Amino acid sequence: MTFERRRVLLADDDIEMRGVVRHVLETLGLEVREASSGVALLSCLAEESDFDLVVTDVRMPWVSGAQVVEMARAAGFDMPVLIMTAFADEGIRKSVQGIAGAQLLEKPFEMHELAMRTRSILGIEALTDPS
Amino acid sequence: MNTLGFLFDDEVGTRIGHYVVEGSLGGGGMGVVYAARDALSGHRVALKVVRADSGAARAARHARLQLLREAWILSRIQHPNVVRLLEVGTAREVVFMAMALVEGTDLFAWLRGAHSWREIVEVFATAGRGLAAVHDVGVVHRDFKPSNVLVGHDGSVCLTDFGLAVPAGEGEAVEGFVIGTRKYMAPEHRDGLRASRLEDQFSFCAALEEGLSAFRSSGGGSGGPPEQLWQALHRGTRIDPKERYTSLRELLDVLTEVLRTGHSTVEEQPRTDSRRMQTGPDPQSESTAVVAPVLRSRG
Repeated sequence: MTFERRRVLLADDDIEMRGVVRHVLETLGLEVREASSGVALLSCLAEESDFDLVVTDVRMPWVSGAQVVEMARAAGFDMPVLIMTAFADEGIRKSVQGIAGAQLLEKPFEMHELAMRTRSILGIEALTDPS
Repeated sequence: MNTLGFLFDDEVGTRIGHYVVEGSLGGGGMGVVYAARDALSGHRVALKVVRADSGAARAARHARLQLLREAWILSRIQHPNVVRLLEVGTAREVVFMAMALVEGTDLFAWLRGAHSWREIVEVFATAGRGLAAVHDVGVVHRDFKPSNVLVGHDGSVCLTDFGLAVPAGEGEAVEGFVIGTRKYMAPEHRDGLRASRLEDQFSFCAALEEGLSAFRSSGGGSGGPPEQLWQALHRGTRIDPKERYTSLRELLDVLTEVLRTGHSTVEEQPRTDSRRMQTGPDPQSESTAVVAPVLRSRG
């Protein structure tokens, strides 16, 4: 019997932020694919195997994480999405609320909050505490 | 439309959103392009939709997202020599992209006709102005070839098919594969590197050189392209991108000058050069998009 690790697509143009988030996700036993821009996020979704979760920043050059998620939903992708932002004004909150299966995670956040949200979304039991 | 939401060539009269299909213009992969009429405005359009008749839901989902990506890229470009995006939308299970319809043919078919070298260079230079406009907004087309250039009956020339286009600096090979058309593909693209405007210059020159191949194989002589033109194409297809023109506009300036002052020369054969890609006629179909493994591992 084989066990396939669940795959997470992580998009943020901040390499340090990607490193922190990646560490948390890998501690939860997840396989992480990084995208350094909204364009890369879009390409990964369009060209690679399906992901179990997308974790993305909002503000990125060329195309925002939220817009890519809107495009993915229009194309029929239904994976859960965690949208991170340091600029959570009312417009962004309403925008994320309008995307099925998307949750907002406001920066700055504690690692245990990211872990808790991820476990909740993917139904992972708490075995370790990444913080 | 059938019960699966698929479209077939014989489905003239099918409605997709507010468009009514009038006929097929072609297609490849999971995409198909129809001539259609906007039932609201009455205008004829080119309607690109994702054909999902493989029956694989996952593949269809990915193809729909690729079409939305193409529409997003095209929405950023407005130029008379680039096909105009009118609308992108969804209707039931179908994602569609409506574009201005160019009544005519594509450059691949156009080149089969009898044309002077000047006419060929003029059409390519016009398409090149569209490609330069693409570069101006920071996008790399990544699949410039004659079948992706439309030539209208009215003389209009439009660059189309932005399915592989990405912003410059993006587009690193995904999962070890690159997609494109091998015979026009720049070596750095084949190596899976990030997209650069210079790779479009390579493809443009490779395609133009092929378009002029009849003049080269005839050994030049009276009425053929001048040596200056072969040298320009020679430079644009250098293996090392740094040895090409710094921009497509610089190359287009040379083509303009050749058209203005060009005259036949005695010796028109381009010199062979080991540093240069060979871009002669290829038995492989021009329109075949290939998926090739990256030759160089990524760092």
